[in-house]
Amino acid sequence: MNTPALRQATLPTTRAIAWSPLLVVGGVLLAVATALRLLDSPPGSVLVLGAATMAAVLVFSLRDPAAALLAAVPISRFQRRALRLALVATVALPLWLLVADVLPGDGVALGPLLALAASGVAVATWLPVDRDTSVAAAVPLLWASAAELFGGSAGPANDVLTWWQTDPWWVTAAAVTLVLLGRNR
Amino acid sequence: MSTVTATTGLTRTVEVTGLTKSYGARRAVDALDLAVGPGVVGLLGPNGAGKTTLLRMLATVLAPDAGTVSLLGGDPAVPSQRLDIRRRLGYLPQSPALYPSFTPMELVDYVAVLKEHTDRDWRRREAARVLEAVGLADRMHQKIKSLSGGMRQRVALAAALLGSPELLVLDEPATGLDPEQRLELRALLSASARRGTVLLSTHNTTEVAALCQHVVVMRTGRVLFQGTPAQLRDVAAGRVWEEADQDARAQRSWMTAEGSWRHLGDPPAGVTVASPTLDDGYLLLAAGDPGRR
Repeated sequence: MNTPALRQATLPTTRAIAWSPLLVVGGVLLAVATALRLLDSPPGSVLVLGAATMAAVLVFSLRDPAAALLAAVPISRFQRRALRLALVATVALPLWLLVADVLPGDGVALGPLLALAASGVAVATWLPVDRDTSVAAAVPLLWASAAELFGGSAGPANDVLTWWQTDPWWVTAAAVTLVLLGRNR
Repeated sequence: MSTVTATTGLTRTVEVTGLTKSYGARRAVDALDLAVGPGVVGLLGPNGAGKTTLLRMLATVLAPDAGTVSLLGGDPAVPSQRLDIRRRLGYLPQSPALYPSFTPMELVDYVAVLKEHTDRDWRRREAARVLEAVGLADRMHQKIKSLSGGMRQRVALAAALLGSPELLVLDEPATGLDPEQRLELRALLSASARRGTVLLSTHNTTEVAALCQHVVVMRTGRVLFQGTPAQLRDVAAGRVWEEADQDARAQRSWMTAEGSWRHLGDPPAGVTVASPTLDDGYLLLAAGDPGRR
């Protein structure tokens, strides 16, 4: 890994990232959280969908419009994506913690958000390049929606659907392992 | 198995054997052999011939399903060797998207960073040099979103030229360029070919005639022809004739600017055979005619 090159790439990469989806989603979540707090209403599904949407935005930030132009540079796609993700996460995670702090109730753990986001990134790593980010960004949304819609029943299917909530750190670890295994793709 | 040997020097910079790539059931590149040395090599072929897939594999961007690839003496399938190849390679994909909010200077500088050039002064000088070489000296500080399609294409070309790579892989580099810019591109690529190998795909036979020492014609993932532009033109020798009217016996016909009909195929008795052009040779091959090689 060429650390000096990656360090010098930080500023232009920051400029190359489309920040508006994160800022819009963060703003909306913050507004909803504030409204719920003012109404003293329980967060319910808003929390789950909020985490899923934030995770989807994190995954979507991997999308690089100039990816084709950069496809054959020595700094690999894996390294460029890691840099993008790190930059977006420095804004997204504090934003999510702020939303969690504003929401009424016990607050929201970081684990489920990371589990959903890591799962999406793992899918993006292994999908063909042309359509990876848009499909992968749907993973957190689909998984969280499925958990909300079908996760109430008993049985192994329910366990799988709610893994990201019940065992977020294991899910995150598994997803990160998959990402690392695909680093040369 | 298709075989291509287009060597313009003793050193082979690109060597592939049995190269195959499929998308689902469709075979985009089919057991292709290719050996290329320094110089400009043009890839001609209709849409869907497999040119872009081949170039993507030769740019280390796409892994083949089968076959071996050697680029600049390295194997792109081995990560450490792929890294070394990429340090010596320039790649221009087909109509690449850029960052609209960047200026050409910022974008080329960014690409230079990602090509591991960490000396800022050198990078600035090199970015200015390549932008000047593609005729964007006076536009290098304008936002890319304000540039025309041809100018954007030249920004991407400038990024590919960074560091004077030994192997340049260019997918339709002349797209969006006006005739004057095409002339400048030819001079630029000829100069690049003195330092290494330039592999380019194009639909333009004029480009090939003016620029390439060797030409490869592809169709449905296979090589139909390889040789010099003159040899491609000679494929149609004795198989072109012109008449005032259409001729059903011709394989291909079209009306010329002068109003007469130009025909390709086996000329009927009594007609006067015309001098072939590179277009004639290519069109005969693309029509599925094996030609006279």
